[in-house]
Amino acid sequence: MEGIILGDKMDKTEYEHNEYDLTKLIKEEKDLPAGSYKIGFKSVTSRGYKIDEWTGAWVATALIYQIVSGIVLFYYYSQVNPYASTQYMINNVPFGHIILTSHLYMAYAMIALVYFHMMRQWFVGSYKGKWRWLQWILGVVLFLLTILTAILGYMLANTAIAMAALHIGILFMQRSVLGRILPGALINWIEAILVGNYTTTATFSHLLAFHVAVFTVLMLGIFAVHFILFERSGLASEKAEKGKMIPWFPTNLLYATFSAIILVGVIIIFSAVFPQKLLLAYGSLEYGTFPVPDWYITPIYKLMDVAGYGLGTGGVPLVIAIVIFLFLIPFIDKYHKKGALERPWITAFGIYFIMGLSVMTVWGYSQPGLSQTRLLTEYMWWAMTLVTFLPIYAMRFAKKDGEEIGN
Amino acid sequence: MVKKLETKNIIYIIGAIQLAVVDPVMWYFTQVNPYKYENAWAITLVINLFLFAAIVFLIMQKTIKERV
Repeated sequence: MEGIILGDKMDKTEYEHNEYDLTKLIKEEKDLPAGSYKIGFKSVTSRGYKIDEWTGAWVATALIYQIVSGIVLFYYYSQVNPYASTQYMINNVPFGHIILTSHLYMAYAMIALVYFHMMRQWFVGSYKGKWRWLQWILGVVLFLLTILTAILGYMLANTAIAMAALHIGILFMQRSVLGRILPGALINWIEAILVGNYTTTATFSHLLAFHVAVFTVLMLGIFAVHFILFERSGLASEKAEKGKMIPWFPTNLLYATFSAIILVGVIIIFSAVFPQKLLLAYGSLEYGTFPVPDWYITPIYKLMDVAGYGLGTGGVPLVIAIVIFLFLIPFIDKYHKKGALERPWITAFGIYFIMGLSVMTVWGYSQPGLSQTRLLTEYMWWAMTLVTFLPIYAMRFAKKDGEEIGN
Repeated sequence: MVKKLETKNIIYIIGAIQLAVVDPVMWYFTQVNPYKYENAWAITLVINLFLFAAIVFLIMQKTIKERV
């Protein structure tokens, strides 16, 4: 009633008044418990405090930690002398070794947590409805940016393996998708933008700019939109109920802070107990060593070996097809119910994805760059298909059977 | 009969451990012997952070239990 009267009084050609009374921000809300104040983000029901709703918060914690520790490392890094400046960080900068190691380990944790976050949403089916489809697409972009930033980060130390990765990246561009479609002058120009003129200083200036500025700023910006969309849509698994909402402050803030402290604490303890060993410098003489890339890249390398196509031709379209599939899942999924067994194909694909990824990671780590025969490859993929699809349908059958009997 | 510890007293005990044990060790690692025990210092830092988190949790315990 009051609102209607006020609305009539207001002249529509005028702007609404600016609100300067900040105490109104902490006005008491009626559907919140007595004595609670509305400061900050959305309130949720007690469902929101189950541990699986917090996978995104851990990734966000990792991102913030990477930015803070990265700024500290940025003060000491030099593009002119990348390997020596990394050694200087380890040996001469106070707490430098632990900051550098924790930056590496948090990057590993971030990638693992991004996978965890993604697979959780995949199985729960929270990528549909309201703005969630857009949230999922931005999430896949963030996932790609995370992996690219991590690869750029490990190139920065100018170790032998870093340069091997850089050369493979350049080969990728020249011999595969980009290089074959675009004219030669254009691809040369793109290469100059990406890696400079192949002197150490130019190359590492470019890599550093991509690592600390371009990709990180993109990631932060897209994360902001991803998070705002989440605040708009709310949790996928709860229905907002009046009177049952728990205010963001202080419970949610405390929960977020505690989980952040635990994640950062675990990473710092790991970095203190197992400090990073800097790998061999690029161009130093050491015989009988074979560079193995970081664990999050091995599945892609191994996928190309196993496909039997090599880097240039078949392997790249295969990886691109997987990425496009990830983007399109909200539109591929036509099922009407949310449960994992209600969407058998999608769930089976999820398990297939996890299994393929872990098999490729372990295999790529133990036998990098070793091609397999077609027979073994076919045998492995069909076996994986069988063990993912069969149990899902068996479980679905068992569930329906149980429901018919009446438990 | 074992008497149950009050929350207030648990907070005091944690605070006493911080002041009497953890903080002097941290002080030793950075001030008495600088640069030598950086990794050990980082571990004590994490322990100290966890203890602070425990104190905050104990203070807010009642509010959290009422709501979640």
